[in-house]
Amino acid sequence: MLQVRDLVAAYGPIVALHGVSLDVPDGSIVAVLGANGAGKSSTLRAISGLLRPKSGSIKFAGQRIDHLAAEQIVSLGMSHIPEGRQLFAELTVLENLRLGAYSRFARADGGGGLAHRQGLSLLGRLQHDLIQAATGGIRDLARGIREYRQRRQDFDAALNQIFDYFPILAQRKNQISGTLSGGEQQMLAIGRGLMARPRLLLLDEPSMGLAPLITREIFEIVQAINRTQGMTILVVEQNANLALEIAHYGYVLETGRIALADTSDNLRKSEAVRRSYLGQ
Amino acid sequence: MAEFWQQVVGGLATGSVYGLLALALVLIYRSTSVLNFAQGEMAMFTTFIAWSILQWGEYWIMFPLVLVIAAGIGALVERVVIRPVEGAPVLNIIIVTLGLFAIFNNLASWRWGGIPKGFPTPPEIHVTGIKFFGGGALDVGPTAVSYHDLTIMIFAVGIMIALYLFFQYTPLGLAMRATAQNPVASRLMGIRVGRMLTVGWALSAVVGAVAGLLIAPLVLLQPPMMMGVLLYAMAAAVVGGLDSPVGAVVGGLIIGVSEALVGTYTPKDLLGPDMKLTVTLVIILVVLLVRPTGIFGRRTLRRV
Amino acid sequence: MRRLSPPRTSQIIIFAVLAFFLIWWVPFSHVLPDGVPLRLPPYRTYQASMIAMWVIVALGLNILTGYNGQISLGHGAFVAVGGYTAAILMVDYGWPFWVTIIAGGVIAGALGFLVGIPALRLTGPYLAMATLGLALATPQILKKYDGLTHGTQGINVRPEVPPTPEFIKDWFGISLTNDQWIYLLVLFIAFLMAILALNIVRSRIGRAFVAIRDSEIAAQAMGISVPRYKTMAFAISAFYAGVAGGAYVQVVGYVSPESFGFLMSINFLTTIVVGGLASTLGSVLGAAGLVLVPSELPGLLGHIPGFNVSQDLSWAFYGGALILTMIFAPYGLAGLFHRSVRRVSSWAPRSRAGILVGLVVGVAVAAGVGFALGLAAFLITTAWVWAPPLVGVGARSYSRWVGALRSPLGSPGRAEAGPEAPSSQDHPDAER
Repeated sequence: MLQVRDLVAAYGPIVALHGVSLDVPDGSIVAVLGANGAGKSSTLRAISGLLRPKSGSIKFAGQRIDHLAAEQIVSLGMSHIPEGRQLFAELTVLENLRLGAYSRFARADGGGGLAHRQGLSLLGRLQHDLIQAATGGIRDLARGIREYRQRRQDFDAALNQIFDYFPILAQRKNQISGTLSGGEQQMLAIGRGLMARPRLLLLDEPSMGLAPLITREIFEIVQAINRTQGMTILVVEQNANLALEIAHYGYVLETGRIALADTSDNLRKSEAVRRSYLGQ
Repeated sequence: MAEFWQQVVGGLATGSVYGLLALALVLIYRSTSVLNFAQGEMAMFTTFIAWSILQWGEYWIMFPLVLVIAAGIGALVERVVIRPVEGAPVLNIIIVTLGLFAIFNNLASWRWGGIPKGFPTPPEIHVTGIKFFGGGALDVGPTAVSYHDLTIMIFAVGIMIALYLFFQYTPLGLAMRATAQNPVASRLMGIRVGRMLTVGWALSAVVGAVAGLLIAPLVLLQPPMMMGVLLYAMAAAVVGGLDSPVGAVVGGLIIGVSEALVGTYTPKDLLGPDMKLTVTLVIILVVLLVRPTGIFGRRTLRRV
Repeated sequence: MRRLSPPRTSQIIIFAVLAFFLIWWVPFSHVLPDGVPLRLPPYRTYQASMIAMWVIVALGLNILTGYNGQISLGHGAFVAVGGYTAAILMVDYGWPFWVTIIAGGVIAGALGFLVGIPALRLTGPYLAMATLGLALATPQILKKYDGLTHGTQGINVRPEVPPTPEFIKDWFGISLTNDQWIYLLVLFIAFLMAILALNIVRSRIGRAFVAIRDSEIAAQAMGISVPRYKTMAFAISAFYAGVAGGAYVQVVGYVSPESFGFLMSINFLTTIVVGGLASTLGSVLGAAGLVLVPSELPGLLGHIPGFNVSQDLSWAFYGGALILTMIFAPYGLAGLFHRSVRRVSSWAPRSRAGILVGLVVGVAVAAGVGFALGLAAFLITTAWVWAPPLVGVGARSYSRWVGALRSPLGSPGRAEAGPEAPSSQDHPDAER
């Protein structure tokens, strides 16, 4: 589903990725491990479009996405659950989830228009944007009214599915998300990402700042999502143990380069990995 | 006593205009942390455009047309002038708004000249025998309230309610709130952050335009018309809390009423009407000392 | 920004050239015959006095806002206090002028300290608004308490300002006009204040200021007393403004409540941002711009045939120039200057002459860009006149030009090209 080749990305003068290549097969869970600063989160950010790569290619379901904007990539069916959750802290749980589904509201008008926009000159883009801003709202409204009932049903179905996975969220539906506990926030973040009904889920350090028990619970749910829905998942983790437990394949990143790539079983058995990352 | 209420009502009316402009300021501040110093001048500019339209059209035809034009100007300004400095330090963007202030002010003077022009109040509409808008006054209790003042207050309340509904219950409103809070996460939701900002500026310009249309009949239409209003509106926004729309309107009312009362009821040698701005300063200071982020402002939690 | 310093000999040469220009050429070149290039007529001396005055204010405000991060939109109030103090002392009490200037500074500085105390509780836009309120209230207060301030009519200082002091004639054997004497006086004061500013900035105090600006909490954790330094910054910047006020009295000869309106305060802020925050050079460039751009721009643009509307729209151009400067020079003119120096010297990395050439180019670039910005501002604000026929043709070359303008001198922190990409510089963690 995802093919990354020779990805080079930098923050200004600081190069974070020195040519990273990886594959994420359909329906699998792939883990990316590595120490702090190895470039794991940068990899995800480059894939989801938050960080524009300097060179290399990223193919998602056969389509080149490396020069698309993050907003477009979301519409194509990729959900990035960022490091640190990045919830809308002042909004309620339900509002966060609703926003997760936003790309599906807007998806119909998104794709084509934006791709066309890339090729325009500066003045052309200005024109395009102004016309979009002026009429886009009206067109969205019109479409929204037509498809309201269908959308409503879709939304409710997706919402119920999330509540199945994370019952606690149903209980705290109208609570301000900033007041949730760490584990609940992570669940909300994952739920929010799932509301977009993505084909590929990018999970950035889900265990960060969480107690071991709740982390395990979350990982189990992630595994369940993969098993029941066949959702393809790319997870970046420092907690190599947990990650390798649920993953099918794994990559180890060191200072912006892939050091190891293998099935998770082999990685768990490998001497190097055991010493450096599993603490054995 | 009747005079007291007269003053209070008058203060509420002008306060509503301050509140509207403050609301426009807060709309932009919430999403970009920028104080748009050009808000007043943009409103003045659109009011002049309204005046031009009135030369050949009816008031109620002009009204929606001006709102659309204002939205267009707001969107244009965001897209052309603000977008290029998007990531810059806030101070830089404020300087840009100061530049816009100069441009709008000067263009208005150049195009329409400095001679004050009269601007009409909204003409009467009769709905089921009740008169809306128009001139004259209504007797309410101990005083008479001018229809125009009523108009202003109705509009202010109406806009507040409309905006509240918009932000609370529509997907676009939700997306805009999200963008204001966390632009990165918003992009990951598929929200085009840039477009949200453009809409924000457009909305803000519309609210400002209404403020301009409502105050012009009271102060005569001329280029410096909104400068004083802007200052009071900024004071109102600050007093109410820069990230609170409710605060903006409440702040406006407070400042409007105290301006009216101080002007009338304080001894001339101690304070009196020429110290109105000073009194406003004192109000700002007192409020900010007690609540450094405004009455309804959120105390920001600082993570170390 | 990293700043390169030129080799010692070139420093001396530059200093000498500047000294000659400022001390002799500005006030005296008008005695040269007409055809001499760059000869400056007498009114330039007055203009230069104004520039020097505003340099003093800018230096002070820069310490508060650029180095310490507190935004003040009210410094006109401190200038007013300094000016009025000096004027009252001169006219009503007959004090000698140089004492009044110092007194003006001290009184303003005290007021600044007092203002700095409540300012401790306020941040960002709230502080800006509170200080703006101060600037707004000042004219009204000055008018009100006319027992002291002579009210709306203001104070006319001229009769009291002594003509060029005798000792100048005795010591130097030349006689100066009032304008020339005042200019040299203010220049001297500005020079002293600039040296003082440079010293403050490089001292422990300056470092404390910057630490507080960058992170109050971290500064506190390092043992810096935040309240003490923040109020100190206010006091120092107000002192500068007060001294400038005292100088204002000498230069203009007249103070009134309306002289120090809030527009002045806003202009000061614009000055230091456009000139370059946290940069002494920036304060100088900004002050020069503040005085020169509004007065010269309409004249220069009027030379362009067909555009004789320039006079009426001069304020619009100024606004346009501000906007363009912020878009293309976010670190101010000083930033442009330093960037040019770096770029030029990078072409000849080991050559010291390279740095010198860079400096010259830097000045040329800054001045040239300044002019170009003004011109562009004019063109843009009158676009509705000349653009329609050209739009179809010009659009593509315009976008190419903008693209080229952005990349080599570039905007800071924008590693990713294009308007869609985020600025990854705002991501706090560079280690991914």
